[in-house]
Amino acid sequence: MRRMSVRALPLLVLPAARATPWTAFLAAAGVGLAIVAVPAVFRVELTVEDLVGLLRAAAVCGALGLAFLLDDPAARTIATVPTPRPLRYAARAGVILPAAAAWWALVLTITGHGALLPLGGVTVEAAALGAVALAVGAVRLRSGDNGGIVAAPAVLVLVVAASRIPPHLALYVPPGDERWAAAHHRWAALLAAAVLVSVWAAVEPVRARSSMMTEID
Amino acid sequence: MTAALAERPAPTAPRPGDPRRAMLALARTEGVRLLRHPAVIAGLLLFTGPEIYRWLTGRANRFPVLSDEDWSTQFLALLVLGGGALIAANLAALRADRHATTGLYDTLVLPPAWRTGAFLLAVLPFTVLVAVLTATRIALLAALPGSAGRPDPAELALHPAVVLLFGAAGVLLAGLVRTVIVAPLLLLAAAVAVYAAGLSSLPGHVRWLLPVALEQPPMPVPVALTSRPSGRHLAYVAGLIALVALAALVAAGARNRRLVMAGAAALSVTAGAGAAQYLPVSDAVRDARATAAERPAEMQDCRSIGSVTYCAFGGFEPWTGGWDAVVRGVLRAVPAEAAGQPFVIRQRVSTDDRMLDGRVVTAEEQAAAAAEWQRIEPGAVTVGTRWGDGRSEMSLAGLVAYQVVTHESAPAHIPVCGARGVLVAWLAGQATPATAAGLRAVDATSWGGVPFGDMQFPVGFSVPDREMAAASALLRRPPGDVATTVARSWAELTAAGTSADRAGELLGVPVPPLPPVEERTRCDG
Repeated sequence: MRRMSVRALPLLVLPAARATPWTAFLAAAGVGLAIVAVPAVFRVELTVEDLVGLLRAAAVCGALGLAFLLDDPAARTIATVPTPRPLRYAARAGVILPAAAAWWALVLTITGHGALLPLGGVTVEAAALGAVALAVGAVRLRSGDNGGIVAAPAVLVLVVAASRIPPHLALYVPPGDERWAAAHHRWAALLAAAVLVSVWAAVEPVRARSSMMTEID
Repeated sequence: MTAALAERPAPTAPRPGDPRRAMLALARTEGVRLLRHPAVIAGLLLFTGPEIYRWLTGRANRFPVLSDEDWSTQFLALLVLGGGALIAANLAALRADRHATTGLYDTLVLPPAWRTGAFLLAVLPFTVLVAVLTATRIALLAALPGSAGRPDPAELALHPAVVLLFGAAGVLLAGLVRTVIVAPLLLLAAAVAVYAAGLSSLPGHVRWLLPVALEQPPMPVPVALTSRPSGRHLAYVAGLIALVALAALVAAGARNRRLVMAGAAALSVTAGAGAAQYLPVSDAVRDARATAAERPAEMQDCRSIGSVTYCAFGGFEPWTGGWDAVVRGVLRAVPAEAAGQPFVIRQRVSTDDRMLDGRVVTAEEQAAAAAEWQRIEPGAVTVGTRWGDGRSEMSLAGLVAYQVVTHESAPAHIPVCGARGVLVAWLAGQATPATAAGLRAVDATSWGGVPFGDMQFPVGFSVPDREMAAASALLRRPPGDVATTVARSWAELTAAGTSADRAGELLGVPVPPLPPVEERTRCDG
């Protein structure tokens, strides 16, 4: 049963792409691109710190867009189909993650100055924010239909909170700061935690699931 | 909505065709729901939490400049309070749509435009809460014995105004785009625009057309010198609020002549006040700035304590006690004949940003600027308009110590080497616990030498790392013992030619070896 489901994964990718609510992601991705493109087009001279600030704002846009990508109005009605929720999420992730990665690559390309900017660190920040958005969305989807309306404000709250915590625990540090490495260890930990929560939240929230599965198997 | 209908008292049922009471009932219910919305509560926590934490842990500045504090929280208010209002109001106005119950609402007594009116009114309770919060904060700051200046009511009123504007924008967006993603994106775009327009490296004309005008002034200034068009900006934002609210009503289908007239009035207020923000700075402010730069004494009250005279701008008088504690701390450690000379501590301001990115200043220009600065009152020690952060204390202590040791006015940010450097840094560090903490903080973040004096002023100096190391070793010893040793060798230690190594021998502290030639500081002294 389960092996069959996994084999169905490649077949699910195209329908998953069709079922994904892209509007929100495209709107957010567009705003994110605009944030980095406007200074690039007008050739505004910006410092490394300002450029990193723009990338961070674009990353927040991307996370806001990702927050809505797991939403599925039909989720409740298809809880009993042979393809379980983790597999459906895996199919969605197979569509979402390449799209988000391509968008981020485009953002980095437009920003330019690749040699000057700490791109790795900023990418970890962006990945962590995106993962938090998906994790909060997935947790919310266990009990409701709309993950995005909780996950998007949660991302904004996280970003503002991250920029206001005391200096020795800072997450947003300026490039070149001696706390950069330590801050990015914390970002990586946040990313790992968000991925774990997403994986946990992907399991179908059904009571006494194990006994039911045994019966079906 | 059901709750609102249930609450309506049965005997006084509304007259048919007068939906006003139903609108108010809905507004009341929605107002309470907005206040309880997680986004609003998170915004309130993010606005107040870090400040309360700073006060509880003793890191807050007890010498706030109220004419700076009144507008410096506006951006944060836009981000967290305005953001909370925007998201909560948008989600509330989209609730029927999200739950696919729009069709059912057609059976209710309240037409869509009146429902929208209710959602707009529902932002008011939160706006009032923000007004109370802002007023309480500034009142608590003003009650501190060390508070300086006075707040501008228009700058304070902008906090609730921004919340109302963003709440109304949330309702308008719900009428235009039936997607919840738009509100957070608008918030993010607005925050980026306000922040970018506030960068001092960019031309600043756009910033006054945004809800909040962020600026990076070189330092706080006395009230008479402030040039922010706060009243006109508040009128501009009030016009924007009216325009956004009217647009939301029109988007909901409202059409009548009163709306058109109100729209025309709001548009003229917005355009008029928006343009008026660009009027040149008034003559009074320009004169006050010239006077403050050229003849600061005319705007100041002086107070003598012992042989030291302290002159502060109007509103900054509460700081003279703090200045005196630092000056006493320096003079306590020097021999009586050196400590007895009369001093003038003069508060100065600089409205010209000397730290702009890319501004190159040669040593000659620096020296000329310092000479011009000292010309106004030779021999007076400069103190700025910041206090209570450790650095300001340590800078004043350093400038006083420099004057006591060298009998010269502060130089143009040149290094002070040799025994004089060691002595000046030690005198500054031992003056008060605040100067010691400020010196440690600056030493930890500086490279090559420790700067004394605000970089926005043309006068100041630095003590190279080598001299600083000896001074730090001295600061770890009991100050009384060091003061006795210093008094014994005062003449040799204060002589211009005495080296740092000799100072180390006299005072009994190790001095690090000279660094390689390419890393040495060029010593003018």
